[in-house]
Amino acid sequence: MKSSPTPHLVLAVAALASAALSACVTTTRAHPELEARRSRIARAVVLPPDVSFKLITFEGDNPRLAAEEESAKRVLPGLIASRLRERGLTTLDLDSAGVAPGADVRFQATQLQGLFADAMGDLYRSLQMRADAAARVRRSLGSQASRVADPLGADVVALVHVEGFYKSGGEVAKDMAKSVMIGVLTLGTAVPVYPSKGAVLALALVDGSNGDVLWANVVLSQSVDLDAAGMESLVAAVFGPFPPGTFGTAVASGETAPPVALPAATLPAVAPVAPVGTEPSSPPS
Amino acid sequence: MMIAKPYNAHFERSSTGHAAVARSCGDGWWEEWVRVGDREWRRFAELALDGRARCSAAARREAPADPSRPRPSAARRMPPLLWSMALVATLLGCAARPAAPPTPAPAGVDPDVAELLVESEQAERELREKGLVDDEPALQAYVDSIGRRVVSAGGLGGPSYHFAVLRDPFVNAFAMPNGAVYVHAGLLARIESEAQLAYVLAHEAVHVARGHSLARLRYVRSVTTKAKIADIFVGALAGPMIGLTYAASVNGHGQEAEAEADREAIRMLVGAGYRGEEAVRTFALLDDPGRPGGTSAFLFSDHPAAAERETAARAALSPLGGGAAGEDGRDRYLFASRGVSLRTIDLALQRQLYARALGDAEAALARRGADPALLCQAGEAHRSMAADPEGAAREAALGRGVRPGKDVASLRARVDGERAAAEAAFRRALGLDPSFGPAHRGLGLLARDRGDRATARAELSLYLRDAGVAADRRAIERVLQEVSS
Repeated sequence: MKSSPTPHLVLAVAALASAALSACVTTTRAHPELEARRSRIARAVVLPPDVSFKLITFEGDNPRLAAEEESAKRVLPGLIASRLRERGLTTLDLDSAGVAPGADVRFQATQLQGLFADAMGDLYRSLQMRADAAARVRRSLGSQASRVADPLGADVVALVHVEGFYKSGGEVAKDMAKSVMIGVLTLGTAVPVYPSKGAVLALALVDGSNGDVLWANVVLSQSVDLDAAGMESLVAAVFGPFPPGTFGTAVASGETAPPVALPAATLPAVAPVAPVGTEPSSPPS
Repeated sequence: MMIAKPYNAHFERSSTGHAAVARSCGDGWWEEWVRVGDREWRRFAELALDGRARCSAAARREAPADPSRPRPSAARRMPPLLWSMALVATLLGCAARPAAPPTPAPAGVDPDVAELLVESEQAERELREKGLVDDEPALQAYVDSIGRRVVSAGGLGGPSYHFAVLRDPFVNAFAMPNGAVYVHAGLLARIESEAQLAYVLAHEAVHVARGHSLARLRYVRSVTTKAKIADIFVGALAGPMIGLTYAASVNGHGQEAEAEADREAIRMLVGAGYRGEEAVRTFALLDDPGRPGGTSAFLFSDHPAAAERETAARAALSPLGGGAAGEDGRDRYLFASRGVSLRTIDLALQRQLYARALGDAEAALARRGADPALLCQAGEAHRSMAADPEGAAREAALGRGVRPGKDVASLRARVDGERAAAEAAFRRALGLDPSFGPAHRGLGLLARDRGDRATARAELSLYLRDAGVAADRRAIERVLQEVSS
């Protein structure tokens, strides 16, 4: 009888395959004309982030974490603006001077955020994508982008969506009990570990003239807290794979950014995380 | 912690000068918080490590158990093994989760009610901050007056009711426990008479008056607790079955509340002098399969089927004289809602919901007669479907919950037809009003899409000549530049 490969060999092959695969895939999405358009992009408006944090409770009412949400709304625009300035952009916000009276920019921004959420749902039906395909993604939010960008004189709009959760002690205990039960049922061969907290941050830079999504990325973490430090690490991670070069100046022809692996702490540790816009946890998991 | 909702809480000043709050959740379960900044709170479990245990220990001794607890503790139903795990997990979770505690309820107020009121106020604040509340004073005053009329006729008690319009193109309405009732612009665009609006507002007000939000919160807690306990023990084998049973249970409970709101609202409608039959017509208008996220995300998701509601409504009208008497206020409604009808179609176009915009424009044209603005919106919907077949396919797939795939090809095949329909609509608008700028803009963009640069330049220049400081001026100037280069 032919002997089967040893477990060590199987594991080694799997590890190699996994490493090779991870080098070819990315969580970013880029418009094919991103580099060509860079030179005419000088001003970015950072919209107020769309933030949703919840406490997942055993009873399922999952209240909002209002204080954490407010904190994230305060710190995120500054963190993102700082990263954009490092790349040569002048940054603006909705309160910047020069907005025409009655322009209703705040409502238009809310509308654009709705389109952004829809677009991210489409772009991230699966989180990872082959790097070559991810550099040729075309998705537009339409003329709504110009309703926000034009009154502010911005060339690009930065949109951010963050979701996060903590679990209550009861919920954590439920997860632990479920792990134990599954471990017992499978005689210890499978013992799932459920996260007690998590966050996902999605960012997109959208062309202010036609709504094209120029660049987008999503990061997930099951280790950050929903505080300022946690937001800082998420923003650092989301900008990590951004192509090199600055805005307002063209990048040398043929220069492309290599796919950058996310820091380990920002990768899903247990299971694929639901696409942006879905609840982090539904009552009966 | 086992239970997120304390039923007893009190403040005291700690020996270090910080305010402290101790919360008793019953069954001997305690948690303590100490304020360490203006908005920052830390759990006792953390602070005990640095020697501030005395304050919390005192709170533990002094805080009385609450004998009037409204429901049995979920924790009481927990197995001892789970209890032990919960204790360990809570201590672990405390250190990792520096979340602020909810604001304690004022004395004599049910904490669940207090929590719902706080959430309502917060939600309303956010709606206003995001510019989502319609700001046309005449429309707001009109909707509010209709709401107050039916609430008064129904003799509803409860909080201070207020009625407003939400700038959203989808068909929906919702109420908050603080008495706020919001009707979406998309619903106003579909409603045909004041009596129908009155019925919708009355229905929502009944939800507030009968405390349906609170009942639902408690019911959801109850079934969630059962579902999660089941999930621990048989989740690995029967997870989907538990999920389905859970959803059916929650929605079934919702339907009971909806049926009650329907019955009460009909009584209020007739009592306010409106024609009761209008309620029966409303159910068909509420059907909106194109809502994103499927029906489960919206108010009417857990409502009984429209046909069932119509039958129940007729039965409720029978002892009230059949509902043929009274006014419908159709003309008043058409006058008051013209502006919101136009704005709703614009909202749909902005959200890339072209078929919805076209449907609403055609319905408004049928109801109101030829109107250059409505014709231009219909033309713009046709033009957008031709220019963005992927977007049109996404919209088509939205209500069906499927991925947009083959629809793109069929929509691409219809490009010429959509462009012809768009041109016909723009030209008809100019026939009614030759100086109507948006029609020139539409014809210009259509010519650009077709590659006819000369016509595009001419039409867009005509638009810009009279556009003044239109919101899209810069965008159209860019297009003009593009077709002139």
